[in-house]
Formats: sequence, structure tokens, C-alpha cells
Amino acid sequence: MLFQTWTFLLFFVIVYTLFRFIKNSSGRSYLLLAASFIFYGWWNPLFLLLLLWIIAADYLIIMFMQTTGRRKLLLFLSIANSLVLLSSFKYAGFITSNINELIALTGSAFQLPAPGFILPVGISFFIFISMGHVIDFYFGRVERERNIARHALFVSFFPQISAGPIARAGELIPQFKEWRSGGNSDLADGLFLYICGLFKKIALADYFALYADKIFGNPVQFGSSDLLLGALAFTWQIYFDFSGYTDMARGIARCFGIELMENFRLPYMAASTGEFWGRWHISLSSWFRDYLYIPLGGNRNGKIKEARNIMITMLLSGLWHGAAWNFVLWGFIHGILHSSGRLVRKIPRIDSVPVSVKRIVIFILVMFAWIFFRAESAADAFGFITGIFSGGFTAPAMPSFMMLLIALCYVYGLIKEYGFIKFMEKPAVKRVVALLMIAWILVFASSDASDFIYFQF
Amino acid sequence: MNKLKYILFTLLAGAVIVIILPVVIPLTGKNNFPADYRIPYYLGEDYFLFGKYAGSVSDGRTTAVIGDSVIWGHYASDTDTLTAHLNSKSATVKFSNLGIDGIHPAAMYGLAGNFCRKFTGKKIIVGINLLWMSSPRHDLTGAKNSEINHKILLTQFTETIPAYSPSSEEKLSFVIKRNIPFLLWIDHLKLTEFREKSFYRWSMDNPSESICSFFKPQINPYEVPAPMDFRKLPKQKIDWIDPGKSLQWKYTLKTINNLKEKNNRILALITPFNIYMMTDESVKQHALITAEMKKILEKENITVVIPSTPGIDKFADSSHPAGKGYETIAGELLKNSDFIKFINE
Repeated sequence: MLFQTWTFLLFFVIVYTLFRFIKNSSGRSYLLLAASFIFYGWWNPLFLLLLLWIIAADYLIIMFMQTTGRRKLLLFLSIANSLVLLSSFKYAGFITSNINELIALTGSAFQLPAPGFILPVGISFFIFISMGHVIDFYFGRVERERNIARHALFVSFFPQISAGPIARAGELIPQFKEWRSGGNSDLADGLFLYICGLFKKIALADYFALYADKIFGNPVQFGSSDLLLGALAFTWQIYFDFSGYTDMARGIARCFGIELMENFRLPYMAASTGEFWGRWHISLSSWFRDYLYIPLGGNRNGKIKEARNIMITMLLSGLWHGAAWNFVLWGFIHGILHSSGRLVRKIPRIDSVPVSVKRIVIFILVMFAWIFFRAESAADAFGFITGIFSGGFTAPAMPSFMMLLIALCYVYGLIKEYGFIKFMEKPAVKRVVALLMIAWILVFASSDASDFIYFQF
Repeated sequence: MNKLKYILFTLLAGAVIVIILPVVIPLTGKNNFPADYRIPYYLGEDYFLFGKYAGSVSDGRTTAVIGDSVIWGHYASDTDTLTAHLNSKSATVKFSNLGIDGIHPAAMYGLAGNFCRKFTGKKIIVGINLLWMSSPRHDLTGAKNSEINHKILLTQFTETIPAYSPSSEEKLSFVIKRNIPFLLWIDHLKLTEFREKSFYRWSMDNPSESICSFFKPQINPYEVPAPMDFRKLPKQKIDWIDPGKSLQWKYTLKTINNLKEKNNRILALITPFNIYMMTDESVKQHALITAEMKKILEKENITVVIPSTPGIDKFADSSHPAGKGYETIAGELLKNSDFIKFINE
């Protein structure tokens, strides 16, 4: 069920109406749990078994951690369970094809059969949500949640299950215990966020996708200018696609009185790679920081180990996004950029470089890294970049309106960064903006509902 | 309380836009539809326009003629359709062409139910084209088929159409769209005021064109297709569907009953089929089916008129008459006593 479909809208209206009738906390939890299972099972009811397994296993592991005291062993079991499931469903094909390539190198004709698993929607998200909960309990950051329905709701809460944000137990479970009113104020804020997300997805991301898909679909056909603009279009497409989804998820959760964490803070306004990761997919980057980078030692044991920890974190972050070498390479590039960014900071007088210049440099670097993310394979990505620098300038096929829109997006980010558009927070302005966004979607945007990019992860 | 006001205001503003806008700014380009008007070919899926036109016909005195491309006149110019010839042969304009190109009777049922609601106490001629019963594929009783026209008008949830299997999201969106005039009006706006339906796709196809040119619709007059040269083709054996099993027939009856329930008087016009293209066995089968249909309709107190088959040169393909064919049929109808009685009553 996609957020931007009539089916979801109908589903939401029914669930929200029931929610308003139910006043007690446990009743609301049960309602939203049932709704979450229906929402997730809509793709394929069999996927629910996997979700139920993760919920039950981690619930029991936390319970046994408290009652038996064998915390380390149980933590290991939980992580192993999660990683085995993730590997089986997400990485089995990747692992098998790589083993087969290695076997082929030896000259043997033997090949392992392809596993043929279907990747369940949102598997990386709900497994990370649940794994984070167990780790938090292990380190004593959260209390054990005895109510299994509330525990299950935390893992499966429908606004976040398909593509995050990756919630933390310490932030979300207390909200399920003491529901905020979920009243008119939340509904108004939630609907506004939802409309913003819808606009980002349908009016912006899907438009940029038309051009990006055309260029990435057959890059050898295009000259430097088109390749460069194709990368630029994808840079904005992925931002609006994912942040649009997040806005919708946060808006829907807000209607039920739940605050989900912010996932994006104008990432293309970042002036360093560290800042970029503090603004892009914040819930994932903070997850990796808290549960991987810091436990590995973070920046505590010297520069070399810090660089090693950054590289491991970034490589795994790349692999988290997809089971293919281009994602690993994308993570590797960010690891290199991030590590070298720390060295660059130490160059004398680097602080005197204007922040606008730094922003543009980081934007360009991030844009080039996205090429590895979007390309079908690492070889395609290198071919794409070679094409950009091979000359052959021709008049680009990007619509002038799209160019204008991209420029406007950047300018909007810039003035928002400096707080020049605070007046847009006024309810009257929001009202007009919401109506204008809906009108734009209805009249100018395409009516085809497309998947969100991050659903594949 | 402020937030409640905010929601109420937004809902109110939304309702005003949704309900009032299509009425105040209908943008049909026409307040009064001219005599012999037919829905332009490129607006065949503009159901907002069709609704307005049907409303105007229901207010007038003419007899509405509904049906598929045979009634619309696929191989005829505006002045060469069946209604155009009926009108030209009558002293005054008496017939309105409410045909829609490519509409299956199952979709016709939806069209009548959703957009002909104002028809009460009116004389209506329902065109029946046996083309839809000429194969399971045409009848929509065959294998799944993605090339169905006017899907939005089909029954979505309550009945099964074997050839039609969209996702539940598609079905739901069709039900919502056809019941909210505002959404139909948006489509109408796009079809009549813009160069293409999607601005985004247009800008992709015309990257260097000025945005302003998108708002200048490019209306090409309908180019009447050349008739098929079927004389060179071997005679075909038609896989006729038995009326008892046919979806065309089921929905034709439902459409007629639906219109009849609203005190409309119905005349069923079974339009001629190009028997010159068929084997003798298929011609016999066609005659049997037509006779059976006539019998069933007459049992329901429906006047049935079956014009005789015009000459071979008056057909444009298997079921569509050419302009001359329409002229012949119109002449014959105006001499048919049942037809005259129906019109003059």
C-alpha cells in the first residue's frame, strides 16, 4: 500500500475514524497494531510471518535477558537472528552470484543455484528498528516493554515500517504508553506534513525521475551535458523521493499523536561530509553511529582507527542500501570523502573558505557519489563518469522548466537554511501553500503512482 | 480551537473548490451544444463534457441516441453520421448523437448510470452493435485484456468481467474519479485547455519549447479513416457468442432496464453487420442471434428496429457503415412504422 494511493487514503480514513472513537491507550495500541499488520500484509501476507518472527524473537530475548541474566549470549543470538534473516532475504542472491564468479575463475563449471527469495518490503528498516531496541536494552538505555502489543507496534508501526524513519525504542514506546491527544491540532499538522510529502514525491521527485531514468537508462546515448544533468536530476529525485516519503510517514504518525524523528535537514546545504551525514537519512546515520561506529571505538583510538571505523561504517551503510557492488562502492566513496574531510579540516586557513563554496563542493561530490548509487552496476557508474568528462557537449535534452525547478529547489534550500521563510510557518500561509500544492499535483503532475526508491532497501 | 477552525476552514475551502469550481468555470467552451453535435474524437474520454452534453440533451426535446462507434460515426464526418442524416431528412433537429467511440456495452452501462442520470421521461434510442459478440475477446469474456477502452466506466467491484483484471487500487481510483465531478473536470481542463494531458511528459518531449505553448491546445479536426478494402479478404467465420453467455448482451439489457426504470421510452436499434465479410454459416448464426435478441427485447416491451443490410459499398468495415450507409439506414428508419410511431408518440 503506497501512501499516495486512494487505497491508503481509504485505509487511513477508516483507521483514523476508529482511533478517534477509542480513548484508552491500550485500545489505541491494539487498533494501530492491527492496522499495521493489515498495511504490511497488503504487499504479501506471507511477509507478515517474517515480521512476526522478528517481533516474537526479540520480545522473548529481551524478556530472557532480564530474567536469566545471560545478556551477552542473548544479545549475540538476537543480532545473529536478525543478520541471518537479512542476509537470507536480501543478500543471498548477491553472495551466491559472487561465489559463482569465484568458482568460475577456477575454471569449474559448477554453479550454486540462485536462491530466488523475494525481498520483503522494508526488511532492512524493521530489522534495524528491532535490533536497536535489543541493543538499547542490553546497554540499559531503555526499560523492558512487557506489553507485547506495544512492543509489536513499535516494530511494525505502519507509517515507518516500509522506509523508516528508523525509530528508537526510548523515543517511540513512551509515546505509545501515553498517547497525546491525537486531536485536531495533531491532525492539522499531520495533514500539512502529508501534503508536503505528497508534493515532494509526485510533483518533484517523479518529475526529476523522468529525466534521470531516461539518462541512466541508456547513458551511452548521451553527451556530457546530459549525463551531468542526469546526475543532477537524480540527486534531487532521490532527495525529494525519500524526504517526501518521510514527511508523509511523519505526517500520518502525527495525526495519531505520534512524533517520529526528523530524517532530513536540508542535506544539500551541508558544508562538509560529516555535516551531510548529520542531515541526510538522520535515523540511519545515527543508528550506524550509535550501534556500530561508537562500539567500534569511534574517534577514541587515534586517527588510523578512526578512519578504519569510518570506512567500516560507510561500507556497511552502502551494503545496507542494496546487495550490489555499486552500493558498496558508494559507501566506500563516502567513507573516503568523510575520512579525508576530517584531514582537510586541519589545513591552515581552510576556515577562511566561504561556506557557500564549501557547500557547492560538497554538493558536487555528493552528486558524483549518487551516480554509483543509481547506476545498474559499478562498471556502468564508471562509464557514466567517463562520459561526463569525455567532452562531446551537445544541447541538453533537459526541459527548461526542470532546470528552473532545480534552481528554485536550491534557492529554496538556501533561504530556508538562513531562516528567511519563517513566515511560512504561519497557519494562514500553510493553508494557502497546502491548497496550491494540491492544485499543482492535480493539474500538472502525473497521475501514475510510482514506488518510493527506498522501498527496495 | 484555532486548529479546529483551521481544519474546518480548509475542509470548507476544499469543498467549495471541489463543488463550485466545475459549475462556475465549466470550461466546456460551449454553453449550448449545436444541433448535430457529437463529442469530438479527441475528447472521447472527457466524461465531464459528456455529462454536460447529456444534461443539455435531457433538457431539450430531441431523442437521445446512445451507443458505440457505430452511433458516433467512426467512418463518418460530423455531417455524415446516422443522427446527422436522420436530422437532415427530418424537418427539424430531432436526434442527438450521444455515441462514444470504442465503448463496450459494459462501459455503456456505466456511462448511462453515471452520466445520463438526468434522463427521465425521455425517448432514447439504444444502438446495439453485434461486433462486441463476434469473439470472446471483443465480448470481454475471453482472456485478460489490457486494451479495454473506457475502463473507468466498467463495473469495478460488484461484478466480474473476465477480461478485466486491474489492481484494487486502479478499481478504487476509477470509482472515486467517476463519482467526483471535480476530478473529471480536472481531466476535462487538461484535455481541452492544455496541449497534452500531462505537463511533465509534454515538457520532456518538448524540452526547448516555451512553457506558454503548453497552454495553447492543439485541436486537430477529426480525420475520417479510409474504409477497409474487405473485398479482397477471404470470408471470415465468426466465433459468435451465444446471447445467454455474452457480456455485451447482459450489459445491453441492464442499460436498457436502467434507463427504462427512470420512465424513459426505449427503442433498440440493432445496427446492420457487414454480412459480406462472413461465411454463410456465420451469416445464419448472426440472423439467429438477432432474432433471439429481438424476441427477448419485445418481451420486455421494447420497440426493436432492425434495418436491412445496406449494400457492400456502404460498409467501411465489419460493423461500421460509411457515410452513404448511414444515409441509407436513416432513410429506411424514417419509413419504418415502428420507428415513426416511437418518434411521434
